[in-house]
Amino acid sequence: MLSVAQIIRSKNSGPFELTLDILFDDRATYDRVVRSNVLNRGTIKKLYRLRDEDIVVLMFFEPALAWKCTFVRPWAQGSVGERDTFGTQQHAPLLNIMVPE
Amino acid sequence: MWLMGDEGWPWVKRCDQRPRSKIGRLPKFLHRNSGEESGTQATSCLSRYSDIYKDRRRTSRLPSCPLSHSAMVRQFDEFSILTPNGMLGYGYPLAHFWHGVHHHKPSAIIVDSGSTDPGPYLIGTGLTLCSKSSYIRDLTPILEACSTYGIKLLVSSAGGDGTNAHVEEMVGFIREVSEEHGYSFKVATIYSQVDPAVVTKKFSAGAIHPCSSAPALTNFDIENSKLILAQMGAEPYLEILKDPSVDIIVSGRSYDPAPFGAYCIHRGVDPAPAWHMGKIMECGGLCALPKGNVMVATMRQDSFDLTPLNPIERCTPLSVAAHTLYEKTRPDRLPGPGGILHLDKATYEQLGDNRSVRVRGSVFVPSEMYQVKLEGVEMLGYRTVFIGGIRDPILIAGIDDFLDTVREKVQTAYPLVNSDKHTSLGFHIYGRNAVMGSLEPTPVATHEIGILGEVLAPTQEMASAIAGFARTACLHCSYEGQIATAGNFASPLTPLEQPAGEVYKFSIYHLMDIGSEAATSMFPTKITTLGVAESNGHTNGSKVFNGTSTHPELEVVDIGPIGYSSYLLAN
Repeated sequence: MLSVAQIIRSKNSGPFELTLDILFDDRATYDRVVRSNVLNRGTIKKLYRLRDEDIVVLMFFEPALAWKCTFVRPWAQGSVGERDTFGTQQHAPLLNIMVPE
Repeated sequence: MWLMGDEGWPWVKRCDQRPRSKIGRLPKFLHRNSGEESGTQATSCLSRYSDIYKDRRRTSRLPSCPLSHSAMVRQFDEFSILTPNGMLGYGYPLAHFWHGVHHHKPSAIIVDSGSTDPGPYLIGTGLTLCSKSSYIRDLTPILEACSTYGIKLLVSSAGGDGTNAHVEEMVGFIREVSEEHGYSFKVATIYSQVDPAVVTKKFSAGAIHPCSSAPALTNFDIENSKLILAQMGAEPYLEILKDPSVDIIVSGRSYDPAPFGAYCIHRGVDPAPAWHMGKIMECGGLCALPKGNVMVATMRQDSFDLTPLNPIERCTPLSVAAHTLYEKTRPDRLPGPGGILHLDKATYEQLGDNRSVRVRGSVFVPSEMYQVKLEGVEMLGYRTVFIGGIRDPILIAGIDDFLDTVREKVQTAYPLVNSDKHTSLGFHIYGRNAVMGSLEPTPVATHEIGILGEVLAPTQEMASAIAGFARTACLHCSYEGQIATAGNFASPLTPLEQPAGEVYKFSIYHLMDIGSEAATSMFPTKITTLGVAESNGHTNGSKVFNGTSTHPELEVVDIGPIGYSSYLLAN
């Protein structure tokens, strides 16, 4: 994914959710990733050790040639036990997803 | 003839006083809408602007938005909005700001000052997100532009959280700058704190629902919240904007796009492009490539154009479309007070300047029940932290058992630790899974790890006592296979523990049904005059450009690739 995506990032979506974005800069790559079906719930559940009910949204967004997944924040935002106040360093596991040709 | 409504706009009258050479030197790509217009250099400032405005002037369709009643009686004139940054207090490049003011001639400067992202401490502690000097630094050029050219200023979610106190504090900063520079402004303030009794009553009536993935509300949450804020929508702003003599609006907690959406709806823009623009502009230049600060939005009734003010930045259809992914649950449905913006049919068109993007086609679907988002925080206690590093491979290999030993020792000495909501000890293991915790797919320690110890207790003194005990245990507890008996824990800091103050958690993040009639009335307002008007009676600002501004005219062609860091160095 690192070699085919233009942007891979994470961020808070409010204090109770984290959201992952992957953006592509051309239609062919976007179509290839959509077709490959690697960005499915199973992949994200395994990579982030999530349960089905944790995932709020998992979708492609064609106007921006993008993919998004939003899930419930496992720990309180900006409080005791916080690890990532803005949620901006939760994207790394996405980098090594293999995208078939 | 030039038409001037109550929002009207003295640029044509004034621009003939500006040095013509500067206009003549504008590079083609910096002319407004050069993608559509000829871009030929003006022979006369007056005729240039007259022609542009004549081209733009057209009979408007009647606005379809029920909110835009104020616009129904006049023709629609294209106008622009400038935002210096996505957050007041974060700084912005002055060259780009003044370029935007002088050459895009915004009707309004609008800037968001708020976010929940820094955490619940803002509401809890009463601290502002940025320092006073940062706010003063950012406000000073903005107020000069507003005073000189009669541009309206809207600042939302004052101070980060938008409490009543921070609204007053922000007005105080504006007063300070105004007095120093001799400006006078009529300032409207809008407040967004909610009486907890109102929330309790609504909760009893089943009119409060979790927002996004927040847990269900309890009466305990309402009773123990330090204070409760509601995010206002467009309506309180629209009410204020009816009075054309108001120069500045400073508001409490607001839906981030609200001041942008409100100003545009007031000027007759349809709600969908007004809200869509607001959602993008509230983040400043984040939609540009590379991401930047100062942005201009040129508004028409059913579309808008986005142009970054840094010449090295550009907006592309993809960069703008992608912006609605940013920190949102989903990119195609943006719920806010009063309705949901649907973006499925939005289109993004690159204009001829190759750096502006025209946006149209989103759809605003009004909600059946008008809701506002509530925010509240509960104080948990006081925090003290300590950090240290471990390089010993034997200790790293057995780090979980070792930290269990430390925890047991601390809990023996302080039985409330980890058994009471307000007393706890936790460890973050950097070099293994400190950043991602339970989400980490590869929790494997490297050859060196850092440990952040985090203690919570009902008083700061108690937190520091427990942290001192725990840190000493980290230094001196024994472990299986130990061969280094002098100490286990490399402390970079002295004092060895750091008191970190009050700790809060978001306890209220819920939607409250209020009905559209309360969308204005639940947010009280106040009008104040600042600066010389306080003693002499308000004069609606020194709004005639008289060429005496102390700000040097920009050599626009020489802006060059001014980056953020060079701006900081230069300023």
